[in-house]
Amino acid sequence: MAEAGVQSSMEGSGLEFLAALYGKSRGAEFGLSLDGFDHILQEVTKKCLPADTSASERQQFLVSLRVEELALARACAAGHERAWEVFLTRYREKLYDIATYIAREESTGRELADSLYADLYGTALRDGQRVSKLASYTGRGSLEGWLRTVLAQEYVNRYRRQRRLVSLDEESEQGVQFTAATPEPAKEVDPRIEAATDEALAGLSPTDRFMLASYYLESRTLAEIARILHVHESTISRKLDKLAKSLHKALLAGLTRSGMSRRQAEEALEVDVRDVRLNLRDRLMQENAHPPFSKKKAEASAEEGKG
Amino acid sequence: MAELPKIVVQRLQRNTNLQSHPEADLINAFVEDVLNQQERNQVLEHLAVCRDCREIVALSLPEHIHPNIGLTRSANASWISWPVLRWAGVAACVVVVGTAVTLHYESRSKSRELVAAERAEVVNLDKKVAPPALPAAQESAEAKQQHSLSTAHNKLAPAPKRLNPSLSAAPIAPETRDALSQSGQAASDLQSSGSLEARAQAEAASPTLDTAMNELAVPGRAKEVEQESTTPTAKAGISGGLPVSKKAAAAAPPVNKAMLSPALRAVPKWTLSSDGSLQRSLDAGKTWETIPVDNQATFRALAANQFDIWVGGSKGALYHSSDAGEHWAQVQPTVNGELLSADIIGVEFADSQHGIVNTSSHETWITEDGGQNWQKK
Repeated sequence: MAEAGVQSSMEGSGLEFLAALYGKSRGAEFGLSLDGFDHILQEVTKKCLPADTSASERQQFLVSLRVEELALARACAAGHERAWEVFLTRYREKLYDIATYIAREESTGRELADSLYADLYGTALRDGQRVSKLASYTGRGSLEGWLRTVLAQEYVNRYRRQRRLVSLDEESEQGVQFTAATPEPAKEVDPRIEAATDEALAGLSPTDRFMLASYYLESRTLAEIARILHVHESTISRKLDKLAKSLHKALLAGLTRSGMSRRQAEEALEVDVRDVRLNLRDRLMQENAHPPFSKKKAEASAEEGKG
Repeated sequence: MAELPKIVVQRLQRNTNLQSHPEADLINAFVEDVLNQQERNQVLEHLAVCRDCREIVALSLPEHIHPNIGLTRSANASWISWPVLRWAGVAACVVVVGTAVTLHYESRSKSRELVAAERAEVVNLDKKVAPPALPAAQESAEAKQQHSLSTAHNKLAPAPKRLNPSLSAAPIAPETRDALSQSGQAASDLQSSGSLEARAQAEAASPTLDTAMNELAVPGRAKEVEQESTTPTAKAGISGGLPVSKKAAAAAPPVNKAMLSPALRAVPKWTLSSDGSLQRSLDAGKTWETIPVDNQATFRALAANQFDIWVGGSKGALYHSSDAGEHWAQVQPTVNGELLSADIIGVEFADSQHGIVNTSSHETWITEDGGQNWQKK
């Protein structure tokens, strides 16, 4: 099965391994040659694996790839018609359904899916070559999941762009408050509190910070967070409870270390910082006054529909 | 859940000046949990501080129906707590089991009473015609009458067990199928297994194919048709258009839409997974179920028209269902004795009759009568 003169990503018996992967990928059916397939695998391993990866680890990685979907995606990116027929048979309806689910509205979902089709097909050209988003798929996860993520990214990016272009009139209609010409004087936050908080948060693992941010900032349910982290819901509940309590203890310890008495520290933590002016421009990059993208976009679209 | 001090919430919102975000490929790999620990931690580091990417991850999760029972965010204890629900579940199980046992015993006692009553009737009948001492000349006539009485007794004996369980579990043996068709049982049993109006229409159009389908017992499973020894099997029969048993066709009941299960009244959606299995959605794509058709075949092509669906795959595997996948018939196109055995990579059907099948060896097989006869190009 190996073509003459093929530069394989592996030596000797690696050619057999490559041929087996190629057979599994059905690349020939999609118009992909063995040489082309090998080139794709080399590109993927270069992108995903460090340079000092051993041959056996590389093999294990390649075995874990979804080579059939990878071959299909790359053949579509190259414009093979047969590949597109298969792609449309498998994913056309699913793409519309996913887009409708993400946008929570059929018309917006269809618009989102249609715009993605153009990117997947590769209507844009770079140096005379078609540029298709499918060329960035590496086969590590499923193609359907990848399409879902790409749609989600496109949706979030669009909403972010639309938010920047929202007019002042729309802002006032949506109930956003504008600062008065002469604001009332606000209390400064004790820098010791900020420092103790930063120290306590820095001591948390990325998973813990992610859980806290998802639960307390985005108001995600325990079930949603559990699905993202692939654990049981009860595990998330226990961990969050434990985290909140340990953070409280860590803050008290930090504040007492900085010279406050325990009573002062407890009182300080009870202060409502929403009435406190902080140096937000230097410290914050994102606002948290508005609801999450998907809910707000759905509300805005519903209002447009009524109008 | 314990509350966080507001200063902590404020600081959690703080975002570093993120220039780069993980690619869709990496995020998807994270969502599907295929990253190694190091990569996973890197993604989590980013997600911990990037609200946009957290939103993307949440939107990237496959649609999932959450059970209503679960931990809630309410800090106050609700009466719907796990211990209460657990004991409620146990109580519900006890009630259900008790009801089932009671109903079972009631039905058994009723059937016993019925049998006893029937036997009592027969005994009375026997007593009425009990012969006195008769001359020998009349004995033969009485013997005949006794024989007819015993025949009547047999008729009144408890009916043999019906074969309903076998319908849902295994194909019907030819002799059993004949017995059922004679008694008219086939009509009601086929109806109860969910025959569809589409099948009735397809029967009118292509009796051979649908006759074969009527004889398939297991919904959703493809079975080779078992024909009587006097008629060819559907495998060969469909290809050459040879006649099949009319008896089974006569037994097939007319189907109407009212018999459709509610789930199948809407036109289902179809797709093929990457491992070659056929999947069906009855809720506009929200959820998908794998439909077992043939364990040996890897399917790569499908064509669907309303409830009529064709799937083709490896080594000439070609299957047809005209009732949205409830029943399947294997179709083996043959031309001049040559069987289609190459991998099928394309199936197109403009309607229930006109279809084209393409293979990996660049063959094109065409039918104009719903798969009964084929031409090869």
